[in-house]
Amino acid sequence: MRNQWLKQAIITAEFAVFIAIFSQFSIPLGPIPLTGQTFAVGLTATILKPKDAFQAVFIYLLMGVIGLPVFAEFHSGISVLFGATGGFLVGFLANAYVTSYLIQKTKASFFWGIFANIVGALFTLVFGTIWIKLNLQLTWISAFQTAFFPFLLPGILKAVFAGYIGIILHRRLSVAIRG
Amino acid sequence: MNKLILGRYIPGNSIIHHMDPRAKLISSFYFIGIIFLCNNWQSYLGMFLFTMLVIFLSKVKVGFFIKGVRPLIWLILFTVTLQILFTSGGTVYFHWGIISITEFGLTNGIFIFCRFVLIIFMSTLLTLTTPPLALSDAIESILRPLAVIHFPAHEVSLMLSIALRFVPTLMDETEKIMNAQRARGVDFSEGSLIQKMKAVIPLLIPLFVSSFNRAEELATAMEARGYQGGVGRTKYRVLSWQFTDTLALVCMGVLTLILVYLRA
Repeated sequence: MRNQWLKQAIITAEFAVFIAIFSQFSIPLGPIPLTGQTFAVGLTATILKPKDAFQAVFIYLLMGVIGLPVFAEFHSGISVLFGATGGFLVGFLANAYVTSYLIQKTKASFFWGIFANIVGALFTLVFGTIWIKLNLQLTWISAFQTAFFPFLLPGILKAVFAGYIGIILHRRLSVAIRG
Repeated sequence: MNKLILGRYIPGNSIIHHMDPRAKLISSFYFIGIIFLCNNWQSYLGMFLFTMLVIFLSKVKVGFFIKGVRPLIWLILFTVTLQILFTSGGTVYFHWGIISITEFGLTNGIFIFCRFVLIIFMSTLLTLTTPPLALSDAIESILRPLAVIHFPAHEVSLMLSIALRFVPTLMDETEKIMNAQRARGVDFSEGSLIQKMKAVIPLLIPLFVSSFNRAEELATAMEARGYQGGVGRTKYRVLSWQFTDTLALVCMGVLTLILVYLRA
């Protein structure tokens, strides 16, 4: 098919919008609210190919940069990206690529889907921690105390969730994705 | 949710509104870069006066900028608190366990607060005075030289424009499917953890299937109208670089020199 590239580009753009929309949702899951942002990134990575997943997150970040309030809780602008927590947003890029790559290289089973999502989530957290350390000139210990450990458990929980749902969708949508 | 569609653009008729989006984008990023040069009261005051001057020129009410800070206030306070608690040096005012409030910590905290507010003011100014599509054009134009290293500037800009166009469409779609599934008895907020997880599936499957179909239709429609990618494509909205744009960049250069002079 001639328009395969174009179709893929449009799907990528649509996933960027999904990430933007899901960032505004939070599903109440007991004590830890599940913000849609990390979930949507994980889901995008599980469903799309590595390059497309990376681009979808990139477009999502660009939408934020040009002033659409797409980041969590209707934030937007360069200031969020360059702020202390901007590392988490940049980490999503790595997260999307790594997760998607791992899933592509393995069987898209529940085990590997969840595993890949957890690895991706760890990438986000490590990026965020390094960024916060450099941005605020903290020591490594205090950087990990503020940016890594408190988010570790919710992060893994969301990753398991995104991996589980993602693999179900991956299986059911595989026909539609390959077009 | 309306905010997601409109962005934050406020139409107006000022020098800043009429500037080329490329000049505004470059200047904003440059401003955020040089603000890290500030390290004493004088330099922050200089940056503050400059920001106020630009805001005055834009003829946008200051209230809009304050509003821009409000949603980020927790993020700022969080950052400032961290800075105050974990910086050591100078006179110690308060000490408890690993936490100590010191002179350096306090000054650093105040400086970081100022830096945050100035960065927010500047990026708010960019998005208040420039429509999202103009910024998307500017990004394409600025990134075009990166084609040398095979960076797909046109593709990125195309995807960005499509994404902007699809925000309201996909929001409607999500709403519609949620209501349709609610009508069939799906409950998105009740039940155990596993049940809540499973409730998302009947929302996502129709959402993704319809978006794949939409992509198919749009791609066909674009090709039928002769879309062939970025090579040799002319623009409907042409950007034009004016004298004021050059002047803005010169101002940024002068500001850098002043900063270097004021720096401790």
